[in-house]
Amino acid sequence: MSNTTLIDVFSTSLNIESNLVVDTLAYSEHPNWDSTAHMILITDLESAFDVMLEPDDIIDMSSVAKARRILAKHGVAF
Amino acid sequence: MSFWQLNANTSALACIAEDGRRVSYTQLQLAVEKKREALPAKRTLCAIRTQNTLATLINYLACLQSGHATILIEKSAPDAALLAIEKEYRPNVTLDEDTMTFSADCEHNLASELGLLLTTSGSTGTAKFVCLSFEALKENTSSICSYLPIKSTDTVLTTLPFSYSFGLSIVNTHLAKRACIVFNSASVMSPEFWQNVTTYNCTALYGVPFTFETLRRVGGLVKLPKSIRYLAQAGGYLNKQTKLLFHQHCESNNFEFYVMYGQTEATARIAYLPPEKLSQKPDAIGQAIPGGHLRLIDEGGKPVTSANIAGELVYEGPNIMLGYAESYRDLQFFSKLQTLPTGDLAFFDEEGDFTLQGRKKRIIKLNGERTNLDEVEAILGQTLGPIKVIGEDDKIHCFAEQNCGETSGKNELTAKHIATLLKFHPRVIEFTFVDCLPVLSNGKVDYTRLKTLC
Repeated sequence: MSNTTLIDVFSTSLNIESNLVVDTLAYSEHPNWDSTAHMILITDLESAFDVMLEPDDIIDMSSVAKARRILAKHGVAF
Repeated sequence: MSFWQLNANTSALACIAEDGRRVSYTQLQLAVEKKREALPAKRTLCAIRTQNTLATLINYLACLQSGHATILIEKSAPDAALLAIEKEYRPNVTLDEDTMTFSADCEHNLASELGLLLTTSGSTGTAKFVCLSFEALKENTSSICSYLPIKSTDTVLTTLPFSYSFGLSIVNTHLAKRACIVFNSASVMSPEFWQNVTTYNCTALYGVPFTFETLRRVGGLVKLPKSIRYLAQAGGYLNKQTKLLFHQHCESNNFEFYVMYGQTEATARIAYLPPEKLSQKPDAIGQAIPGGHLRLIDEGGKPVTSANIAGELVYEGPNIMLGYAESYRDLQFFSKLQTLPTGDLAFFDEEGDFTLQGRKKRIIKLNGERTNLDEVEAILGQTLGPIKVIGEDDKIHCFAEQNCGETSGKNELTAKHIATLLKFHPRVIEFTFVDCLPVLSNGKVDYTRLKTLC
């Protein structure tokens, strides 16, 4: 459930096909995941999972795998 | 002496390359001289594909020292922009990091004062460039150095693209002061950036509004190392709340926050607000930089002489561009502009400090990137038929008539498709069908009425 939401959020906020949302997808490695998209992604993740991300979470969230780990830290079950 | 003439006899650190290599001014000059040997002896038109790297700096200094006229274009620019340069300017030499490509098919007739060509918009890929003289580059650099507290012992991180006038001015001023430049490509929201800031004991941080909004979001205030002496912001209007937040933090930590105003048409810098005035006048851009002059004109072109009355901001100074160019044919002769109408509306207060009030030209800063709305309309018009756009600094609203164009093209009229065409994030585009696009009595689009339809 959470995983589907995670993929949906990544897909819409980075504007990429959902099959490209894999664990290894990393910040600034895909042309669409730039700084503007990153800030949109953060806001979208916060509202989809109803969490408040810490400043350091925003900096650390450099891949899909890391996003899952950070969200888990905030109580999201995957 | 110009900032690009490096004093070869100094072991002072000029830069830290992207791979961590430490390069002294002596070593930098040697590398520049070697590069110059490969360049044509005769003055010619060069194009540099820029990145925040040591190789780009060497290419840039080699072209300036050899007196060539040089086009700067970001290496990551859309293919259309790179092609437009090839086609419209036919540069004799293209420098891309360590490679040099020669093309002899065009013998250029270049005005002797022409030094640099900077693009006015990164995203729309037009061939329109701002032409700057060697003199303007030199003057603007020394003027900025006279009001910003840059010292030879300073270390600055590159936070903006090399070819962007603001980013370039940071490089120029730090070279002029023989300070150290760290070539960084990481954004403020990446761990690598913060590692660079701390490892190299950065003394200043420069950014556009987006940089500071992001800094705020990622807790940049508490992350800033003790080595920071000042922050400087330009490139558009920064939200008052964010501005004051940074200002307060600066005051309590004993460093300064400079809010500045400029345009590529004026090389980079036009005005700045002395930090001590910021809390009192958070929206002001201050007064003209040393050597420059700001004034206002009303709609009839007459000077506005009283405080608190709006007019168009007009700048005069040695850093004004030579003019615009759209192809190499425009580079032969310039009748130097005496004044620069900025297209911005402003008023001044009793102390002579200016505050911006809006724009006369249809130009917005979309996430920090200068975007000309008329160009956007033209691009969309090529494939999608008549579309009218209005915009703010974080959004473009597009409008088309419900019953216009062919039905086949209608499926493409979505925010997502428009975003792809413009290479923007879909979130910044809004698309609305209207029954009829509002027009004024003179037949022109009524943009004020369009605004009410958002």
